[in-house]
Amino acid sequence: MKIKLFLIVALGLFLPDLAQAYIGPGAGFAFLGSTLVFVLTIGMALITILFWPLQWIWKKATNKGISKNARTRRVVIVGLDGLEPKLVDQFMAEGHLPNLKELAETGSFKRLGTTLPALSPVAWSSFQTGVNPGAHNIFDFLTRDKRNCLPQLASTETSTTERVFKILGVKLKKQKASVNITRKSQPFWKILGKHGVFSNIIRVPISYPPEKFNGNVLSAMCTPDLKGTQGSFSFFSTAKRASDKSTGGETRVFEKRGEALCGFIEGPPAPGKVEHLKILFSLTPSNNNQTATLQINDEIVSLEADKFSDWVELEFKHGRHSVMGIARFCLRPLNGEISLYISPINIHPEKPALPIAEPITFSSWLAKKNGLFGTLGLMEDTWGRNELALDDARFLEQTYLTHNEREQMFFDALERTREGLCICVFDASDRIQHMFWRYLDERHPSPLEDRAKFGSTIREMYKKMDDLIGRVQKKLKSNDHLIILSDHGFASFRRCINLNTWLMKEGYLHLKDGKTAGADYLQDVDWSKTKAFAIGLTGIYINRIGRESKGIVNDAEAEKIKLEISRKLEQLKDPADGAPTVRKVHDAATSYKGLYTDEAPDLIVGYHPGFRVSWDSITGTVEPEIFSDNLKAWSGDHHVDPELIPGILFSNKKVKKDAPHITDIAPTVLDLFAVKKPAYMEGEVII
Amino acid sequence: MFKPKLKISDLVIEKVKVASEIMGCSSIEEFAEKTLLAEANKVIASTGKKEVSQKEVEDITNQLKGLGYLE
Repeated sequence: MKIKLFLIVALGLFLPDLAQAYIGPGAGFAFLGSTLVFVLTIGMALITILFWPLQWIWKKATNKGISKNARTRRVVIVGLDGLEPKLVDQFMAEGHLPNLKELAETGSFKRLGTTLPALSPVAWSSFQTGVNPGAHNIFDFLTRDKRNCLPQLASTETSTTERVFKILGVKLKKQKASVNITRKSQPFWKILGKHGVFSNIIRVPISYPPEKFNGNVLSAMCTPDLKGTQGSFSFFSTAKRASDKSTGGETRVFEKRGEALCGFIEGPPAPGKVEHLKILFSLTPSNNNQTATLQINDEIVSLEADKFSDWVELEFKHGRHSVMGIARFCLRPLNGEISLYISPINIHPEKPALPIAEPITFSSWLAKKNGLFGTLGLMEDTWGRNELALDDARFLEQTYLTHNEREQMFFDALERTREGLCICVFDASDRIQHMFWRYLDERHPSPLEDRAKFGSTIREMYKKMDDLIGRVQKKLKSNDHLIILSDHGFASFRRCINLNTWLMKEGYLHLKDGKTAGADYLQDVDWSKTKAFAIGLTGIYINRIGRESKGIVNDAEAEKIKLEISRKLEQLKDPADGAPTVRKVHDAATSYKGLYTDEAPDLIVGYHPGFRVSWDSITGTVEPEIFSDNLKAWSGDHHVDPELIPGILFSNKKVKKDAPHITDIAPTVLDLFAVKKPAYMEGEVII
Repeated sequence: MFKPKLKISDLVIEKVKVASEIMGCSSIEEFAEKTLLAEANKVIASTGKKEVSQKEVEDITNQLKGLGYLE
């Protein structure tokens, strides 16, 4: 009996520990992960070295590799998120984009049809899989939890499962927390991998957590920061900020200790506790606040006014364990006061607390080779800019710092991909257009910082992308295939429409007795009377019996309500000037095809340029008025009807289809490598 | 350690194969997972909706923080 007890205890010690700590929704952060990943990294590296000769022999014996019938040995795909075809036309005509112009003349330049809706997570998922959203299950950035109608991230889900092990007749319970990708179907590089084609996939949106396949992948959009959020900055100041409204970051006043200004950087929650782990820092300003010395974790960092620091490593300790993150700092002196902006704390690429790459060693390898790099899904801090923690110049600097890191990784991957597939998606094009569109649109109500300085920012960005393409072309061999695409175009976002307020005023949504407007997440909604509600950027859901937990609408009535809402929204005019607002409302049941169609919102709203869902409506807040001006720096967007906002497609070979679609890329690349297109894939071979 | 496995009869597997092809699935596992999950969710939802707790609200606020498209 003693031996039995000893064995059970010993085995219990070696089983993975309870994945306690913080399991952030969307993040799933296990404190132990950091150490585990480090040990695994070393182990994997050793195993790889030991088994490499065997792998090589096996590969040769089974003749795995690119087919002799392949039409190419290498395909290079550059994603330029959100590049707008009309601006490409204009800037090419003006002579600003010589490399793209040459490609258009010697290869092809077309509009690339996008998904419904024209949102990055939706469109890049269709790019990866070659199927429509009904078959890959991503319909928006957000979906709703059917149990309680709370919004949630559409691309990941976290879960905790309990497993029972029976050892020598004794039951042991272990809990396991996991984060899963909810994008279904499969990326085409996984199929290529099965046919011996190796791929390097850098930052293609909706690739977190990364999936195992024959190649390397670095995760992108929706990879969380160390706190489990989509990116929360910190902002410390000697001045108290006017607004104490909950923001995308922590805004604090420095604590003065002698000559130094101090504060705590908040990291992940401590295991099993609500409180976060913290690191004390001290800032000593000098030279009339134009420089400062930052002391943190025994490291001294010199800061210059309005310049971002290099990445600084942050170690959050908890007992014998620690979690590593990285952040950039920016000293912000203004009006005699001094402030410190701290970027969201990124997962450390070399010692990742969560898997951000596949194989797990890939991000460590990249960091060792090229230096530290940002790992957050949405690296450019648009919330920091919207909330004035950053100004236009700092936002732009941060965006290009990220872009430069991405370029370095991409060119490195390109060099190593002698044969196979190499993809990299660049986000600067999307983020800069989101934040600087107000400089292009003279009718935009959002205030400008400096027209003379930033009036040409978008054009300069297009020129930078063109320059990037020029450098890529110089690296290509004659038989390489180059594809350049954007997932959607861009338009102005001047006016906000609160869909939930509109639904309430039209009698489809009811608030609880005595409630007016203002509560987040549809919390004041009277579900016993509500027939429709809006969550996310373009979706309206019918409160259906048997689907929503408090559904009241049967199938026959749902059809009638869908038609009514569509007709009324398509006739909705902006009271400010009588302009039409909604171009088309799409019925998901007829627009999508596939197993996941019933997961989609019932209706998808395609706006006219200039309009978008209001900031508050996205997460289910009912505001007093339906319409409002968009006064944020985030001034461009792409939620207009997809027919109005295609992306771009360039190729160094002729594209044979007049109106290619983003779902055509996957079957085309498979075909270039002589891999048969699977029956479920919808796109066509276009090159 | 070991993932739990489900045994399904050959007859069901054949039908699942046909259905998953019709629905454009990349594998039969995908079809099986989706349909099982849908039914499980229906059963769970039918047990009644609990009120949203403060913890759930805090969790979702934290999860969505920083997503540029939101406020």
